[in-house]
Amino acid sequence: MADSARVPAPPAGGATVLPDAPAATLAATIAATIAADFTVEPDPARPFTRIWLDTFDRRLVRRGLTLTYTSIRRGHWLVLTDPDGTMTEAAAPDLGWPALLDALPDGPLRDRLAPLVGVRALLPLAEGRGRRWDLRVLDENDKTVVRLHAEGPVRLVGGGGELPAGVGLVPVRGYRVEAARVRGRLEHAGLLADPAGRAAAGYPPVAGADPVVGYRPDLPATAGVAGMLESFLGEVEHNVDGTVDDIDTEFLHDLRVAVRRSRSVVKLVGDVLPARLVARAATELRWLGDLTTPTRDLDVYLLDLPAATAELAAARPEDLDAFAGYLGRLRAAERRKLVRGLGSARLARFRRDYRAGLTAAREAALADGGSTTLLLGGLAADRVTRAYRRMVRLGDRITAGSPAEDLHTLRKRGKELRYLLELFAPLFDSVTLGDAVRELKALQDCLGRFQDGEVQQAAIQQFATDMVASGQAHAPTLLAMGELAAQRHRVQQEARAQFEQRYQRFVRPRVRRQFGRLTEVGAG
Amino acid sequence: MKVYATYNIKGGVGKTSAAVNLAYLAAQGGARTLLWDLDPQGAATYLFRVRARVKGGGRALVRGSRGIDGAIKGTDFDGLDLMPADFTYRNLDLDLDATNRPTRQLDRLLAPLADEYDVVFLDCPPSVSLVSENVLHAADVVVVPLIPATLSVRTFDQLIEFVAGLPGRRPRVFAFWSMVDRRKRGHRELLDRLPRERAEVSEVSVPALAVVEQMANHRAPVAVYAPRSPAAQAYQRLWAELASGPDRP
Repeated sequence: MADSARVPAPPAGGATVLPDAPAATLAATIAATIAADFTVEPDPARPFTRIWLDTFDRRLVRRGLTLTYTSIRRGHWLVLTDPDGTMTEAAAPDLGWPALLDALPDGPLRDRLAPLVGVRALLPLAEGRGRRWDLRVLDENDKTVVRLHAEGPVRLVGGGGELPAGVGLVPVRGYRVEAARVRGRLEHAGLLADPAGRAAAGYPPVAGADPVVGYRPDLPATAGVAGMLESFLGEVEHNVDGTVDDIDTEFLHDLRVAVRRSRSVVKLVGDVLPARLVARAATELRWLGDLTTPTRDLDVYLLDLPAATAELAAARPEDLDAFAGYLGRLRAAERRKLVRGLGSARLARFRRDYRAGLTAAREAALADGGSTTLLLGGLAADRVTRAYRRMVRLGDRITAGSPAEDLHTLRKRGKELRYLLELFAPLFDSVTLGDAVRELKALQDCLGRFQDGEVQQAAIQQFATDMVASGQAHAPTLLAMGELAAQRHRVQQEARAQFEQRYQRFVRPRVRRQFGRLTEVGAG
Repeated sequence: MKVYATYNIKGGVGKTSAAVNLAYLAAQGGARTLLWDLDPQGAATYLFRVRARVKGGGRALVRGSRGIDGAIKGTDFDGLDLMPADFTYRNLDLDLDATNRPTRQLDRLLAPLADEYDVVFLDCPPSVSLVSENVLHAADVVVVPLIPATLSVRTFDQLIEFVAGLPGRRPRVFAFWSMVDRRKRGHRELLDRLPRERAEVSEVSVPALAVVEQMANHRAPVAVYAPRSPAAQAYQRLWAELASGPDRP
């Protein structure tokens, strides 16, 4: 490494300006700041383009993380920046966005992103251009112990303005102490900023995230329920484009969750809304739910397939390739129907009329000025109490010999209770609510494994029958699918064995008291 | 994770040069690479400007009181990390001998790194010892630098015999010519003859050039400071051949 390339420490009282201000000025200032312990070796400044990435629901930025994709020279780099400005870098191939996590190179950065991003696609949220000076911080052996990126101002594409200059720090493995020392010096001098994270504040907002009305116990029940349904309609609409474009499977999942929640609201508390509005909503929401079910079911099979394949005992992983291909073709066909439905005049009409009806109901209830007899707090307490009692009545009748159908019904009632708790959450004491939801969730997970196991066994058998009928299955594939069905059977049996214990926990006196306290607060 | 070991019973044959250059090329090619300098002399560690010290020494590693993970250092090159040498590695045989499975300890230490690295190079000290037995058990490919001399070939035969006698899975043996001086007739003859007679011997030869010795001055792989030199090109051919070859015999 040529000594002549080093950034010299500036003379006392003034900064040495390198011939590429302002990044050069920044580099010289950095060198001066850490000169007592380290030397700094800069590479020439280079232009770069940067894309800021996050999921549609901002899973990274909500945790204070920023992910960027920077193209500099002929290379591409993914950089994950922590809230404290520490960066994790990974060289990346030339990628197009949006992209799923599978497209990213293997390594620590992808491993960190995996539990956060899950199956969501990474979307480009902002793009900027600037110049960067890479600096290596060397110890007394001329070993690189820290890497720094000094960046000049970054111009955001599309009139997004300009981000100020800043310095980012990339630690080198095994040199934690040195990184901490450099960080301390730079922070003390006010130099360390997070050049990658700066754009996060400028991301487009997540639409549909804000509630239509502020939920209070003394809000007229009609206004509260209509406002909830308007929010869910917003969620549905917000996820239509991503579902149609097939960006990731979560768009459809979130759309379905909003539809399911809407259906539960209509069923459980819809009686406070105009009857005609509720009747049409019930029909159209059922249609929308049915429209989305086949594609979502196939998504679930395809998403679960890698884990199921890894558990194969006798069959080989490649034996399931034909099954995966079959599911993929089936999904493509179902998606065409889904896309047609989402773009249909029927849905457009329903959305328009439904929103107008909900808004009118909400505004009328608010204009009524509180003369409405039923308030949201009272409604919440009444319906949660009823839903819990209904669940307990059903559950108490279930014995070891009860048919699977009884457990399925209990799960449906449990889902309704869960939705009510979520809907009315702002009215409840958060600690009591958290405890109650935790108990309910444990039971619901058990019931979910039981039902999913049964449904999926039946579906795998149907897929196998159809594949044989259409000449798409060979013996090894069918045998491997048999193993998959057996896996599901085992899961179902395990869930059935756990049910009694989970249920008894759910109905023990402490939990009953929690639900009691919850509804007292809600009524408040 | 594929494990390569640069090994020869003889010393001074270019093992460290091969390990450093091949590991660098692997990382340049996008593989997440680790080089473990097992030689207490610490030449590879020196070349990467890293301090030759591992907290707790070889004994702590072998006894399991410290994991390898905490001792790994990033080098100055993207994608290439180094597990440094430590002078206590000179006693590694004794430390290994005190364990339950004295010939399988390297395997155990490397196992947790399987998700983190695509390629691991083990730069081994010259000898036939418990350390080398560990290396031969852990490695998928043993890369043997051969000086074109009769005695060197005899040592290679001893190594082949030793590997053939190993219990369980055995590594693939891959030899290449090192420190070659084509002005010497003996070198030329062996270079011509042996690859035809032995499937394990590659035709790639790394010349005995000052540019290889200068690694100690530049403290960097040859490809960094002399990318067009015949030595750098020879290492590139060597890596291309190794990377495309089978994992096991």
